[in-house]
Amino acid sequence: MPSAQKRDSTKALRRRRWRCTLHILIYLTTALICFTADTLHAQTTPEPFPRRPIRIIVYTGPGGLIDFTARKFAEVARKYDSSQPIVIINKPGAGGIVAFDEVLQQPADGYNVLAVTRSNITKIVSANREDLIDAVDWIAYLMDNPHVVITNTDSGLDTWDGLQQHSQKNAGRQLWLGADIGGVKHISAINVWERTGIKARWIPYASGGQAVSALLGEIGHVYFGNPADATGKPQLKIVAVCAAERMSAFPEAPTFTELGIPGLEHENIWRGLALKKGTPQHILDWFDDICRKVTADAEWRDTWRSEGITLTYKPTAEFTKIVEADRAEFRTRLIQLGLIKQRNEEKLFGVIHPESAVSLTNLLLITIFFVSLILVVRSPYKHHFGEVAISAAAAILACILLVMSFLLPQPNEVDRVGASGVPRLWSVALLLLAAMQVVILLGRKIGGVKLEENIATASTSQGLLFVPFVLLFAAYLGAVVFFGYILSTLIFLPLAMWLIRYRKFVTISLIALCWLAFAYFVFEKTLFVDLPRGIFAGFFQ
Amino acid sequence: MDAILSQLLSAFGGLMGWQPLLVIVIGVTLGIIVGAMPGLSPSMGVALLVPFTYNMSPTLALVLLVSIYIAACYGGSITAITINAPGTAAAMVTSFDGYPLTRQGKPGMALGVSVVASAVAGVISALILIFFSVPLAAVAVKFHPAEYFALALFGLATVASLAGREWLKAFLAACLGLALNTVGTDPISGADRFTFGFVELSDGFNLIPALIGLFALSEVFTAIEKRDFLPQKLDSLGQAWPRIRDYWQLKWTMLLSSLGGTVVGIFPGAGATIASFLCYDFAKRTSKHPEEFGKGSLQGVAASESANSASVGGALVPLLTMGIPGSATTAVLIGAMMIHKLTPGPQLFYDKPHIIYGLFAAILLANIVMLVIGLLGSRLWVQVTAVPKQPLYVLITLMCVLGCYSVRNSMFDVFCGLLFGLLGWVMKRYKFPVAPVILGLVLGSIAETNFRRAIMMDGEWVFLTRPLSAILLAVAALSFLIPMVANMRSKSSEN
Repeated sequence: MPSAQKRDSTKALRRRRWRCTLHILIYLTTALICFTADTLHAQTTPEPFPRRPIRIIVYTGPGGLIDFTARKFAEVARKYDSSQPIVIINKPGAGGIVAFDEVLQQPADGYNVLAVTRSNITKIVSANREDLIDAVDWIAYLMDNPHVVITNTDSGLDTWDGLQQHSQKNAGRQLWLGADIGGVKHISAINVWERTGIKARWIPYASGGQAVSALLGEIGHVYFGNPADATGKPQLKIVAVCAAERMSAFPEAPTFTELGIPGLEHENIWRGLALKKGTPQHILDWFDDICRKVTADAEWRDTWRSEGITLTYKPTAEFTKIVEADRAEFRTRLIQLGLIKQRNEEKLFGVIHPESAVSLTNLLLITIFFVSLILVVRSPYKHHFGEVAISAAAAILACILLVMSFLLPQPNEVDRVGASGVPRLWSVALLLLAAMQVVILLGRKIGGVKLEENIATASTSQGLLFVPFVLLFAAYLGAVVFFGYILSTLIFLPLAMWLIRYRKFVTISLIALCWLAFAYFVFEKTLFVDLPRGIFAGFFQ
Repeated sequence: MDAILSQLLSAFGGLMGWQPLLVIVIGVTLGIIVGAMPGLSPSMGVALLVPFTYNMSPTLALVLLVSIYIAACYGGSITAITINAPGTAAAMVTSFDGYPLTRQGKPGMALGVSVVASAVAGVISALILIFFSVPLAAVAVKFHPAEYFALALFGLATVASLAGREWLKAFLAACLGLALNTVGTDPISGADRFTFGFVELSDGFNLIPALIGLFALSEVFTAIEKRDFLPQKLDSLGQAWPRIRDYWQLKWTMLLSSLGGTVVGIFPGAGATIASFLCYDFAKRTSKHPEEFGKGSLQGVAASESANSASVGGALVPLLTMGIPGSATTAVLIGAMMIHKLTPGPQLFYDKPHIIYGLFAAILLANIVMLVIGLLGSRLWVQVTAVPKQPLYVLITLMCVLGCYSVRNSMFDVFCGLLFGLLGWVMKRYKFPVAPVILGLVLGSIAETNFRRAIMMDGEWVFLTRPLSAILLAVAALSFLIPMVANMRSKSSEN
């Protein structure tokens, strides 16, 4: 009898397996149909423009001036063409390079617009990515505002002359607060210093707000940046403006030209739009038309009136000229500042490039790491393997950072700590702590503490679950890049549940559907999170 | 004072219509949801709602946005407590004790305390904002970079007392965080550091994927490794909720943490995370039961939640009095105010007091609404812990993916999240604490930029010649040394 029972149970098992396979097949077919329907839908999208929502890619997080500009533009533009929504997508990273790369990966069909500012040019030039400037059409210069010199009247500095005298008295110790070193404002400030003979130090802050706060606290002498940063703060005063004419919003603020210092009229920040090169002419025409209408719009003009901003629409030809001029200027300046990385041709001891030496050392360090792990496994200390491995990894990381820090720009007389100082400090601390940890571990009684025995027994008795789960997860993330979020998730979700022994087919399907509906409607549609569509999606459009 | 009160009363009158109340309820609900989702930050929630305010009156628009801001700061604690996936960086501190309480079958206790502590702190910080904002802001702007540096070191020193006996491992973890923080463009010189050619790394490791990986993903990995698949047993609901007496016992913790949170929140750029850490640390040091911290102490939950919710009121101080955005969310709020033709600053108090006081009244009201919705919602959230574990793990994993992705719409961040998840898993397996890594990531750049900025401005001795900075540094050194010495003593006395 037991053999018959066994046969029955194997039959039942086989049936269950067959049913399981069938379920998976049904599931995968549905998934594929969804995917093809999706891509076919995309494939059949023809002209005219726009047939889909237009996305404006902003290179900062929400809240910056360019983000606000893009959102306001979208709102005003809808008055003139409301056939499709215009949505704002924030793609911050690397001062705009991430946003540029994102747009350049998409087809040149006008649905992905870059919101650009003059800051992008400095970042692109300093990162040696000037190919990005040539890869886009600079289609619309929308506005600019001059850089201004703002002082705190409480500190007794309330005129340009006063500031100049103060600079002479303090010989190079006047503090100008502003944004990042090598950025547009810093370069403009250097131009101002050159023209006026002022000697000062540039103190970079993460945001205009923080710099203005420091000026209000009289921690620095000057804030150099946007005029709007002075509004609503009675003790702040604009003492000089980099423009040909006075700003209507700040009529009492004199220009540098009036102060007898010409040549600073173009020290400003501009904002505009760009599209990937190769966008069809009728789409470019559509943008040209909409930008003209928005620029003339009363609401649009009203929004910027109190900000010291000049609204002037300049189409592609004019805009490109401005970009080219900026590019040349920034290149010269950034080389002077040592911020454009130029390959060091000098060889170390006349034998090897410093970069190659660092790479070789890193390789050596990683080898030492693995060798030491093997040694630990084979030694009586193998019970401490995990802790030793973590400490060793930390130590190797510290060494790698330490070695690489020698490639960083060296400290100078103003920034006496330099780019390499603090990383070295943390690395040395990390190295010491890791060494201490290892010494303490090795000092313990051998085999005295057995770590996590329960985990070890659980893993060996029932087979390892963790490794396949992590591998599946990693494969899923890879699949998202290639096949898009929806399809990959549709496959990953049941597989993952199946892997961790959850086998209720109906529940799994329901969960998958609910999750995708949630991801699509809440994230993609409501929150405008741009779910990955996969690199193949581009081919069908 | 009388003038403020009468203004406030008339503002309350203005908010008593159905429209403002509805706006507050909607704002609070949305805020809780945004805060609870890891990866959706309060600033994103506020930014997304800005377009909906175009047609509202300026007061109503600000009421909606501030309601979201307040509720989002609380919402972060929900996922921190129930699934150990802090929705915001500040809520990480709440998870230290909140999640152990859930594991003990008492999520209701943690959720109850967190919402009450948030609301109480919200009200206290709003009162400070209403009555003392002008003098406080004047002090805050006088903070020199040297003092910011000392404040950051002070924050780092909390590692010493948080870690207890495993202080060496905790400091190792903190240094790891600090070292990882140096990856990316150097904030002072603009040079690229340790990016290994990845453009995405030029802004350094994003905090949210690190947070999601180290906390949520690593938890899923550990649970799958241990095959922890049995549904959580809940205490019967009657026992699981805190009673009035429980709240009353936490009154001093809530009050002190609210004050601390507000003060730290005022400093532009310091933020809710430091506030939570410092107040949690303070509560632990002054507690009668410091040994319970980290294992499910209600005091710990209350301290952390009060501090991070109170920092909202603090962050509004420089925003409203001087137009300085101290946090990412207040930066978005300034943008929204610009849309409505409001220029924040002292002038606004004279020109449009009804808007300012309407906003103050709305903050007080939003905290009360949040208390009601939060307490009702907590009954729902508790159920999350009763969901069968396997689907829950997979869903948490998927939530983590969306969370990491939506910060910058970038798959690179998702891969970073996975790596941090593995790091967290391996660290937890060998009893290395993970929170110091986050602390290092948060404080690293504040410490470095202000250290270098201070030296660029006034030379190396500025840290000792400015009295405030010298005092803060001395306090930081003490708070670093005392727990270490105490630890060594207890060790040697045991031996």
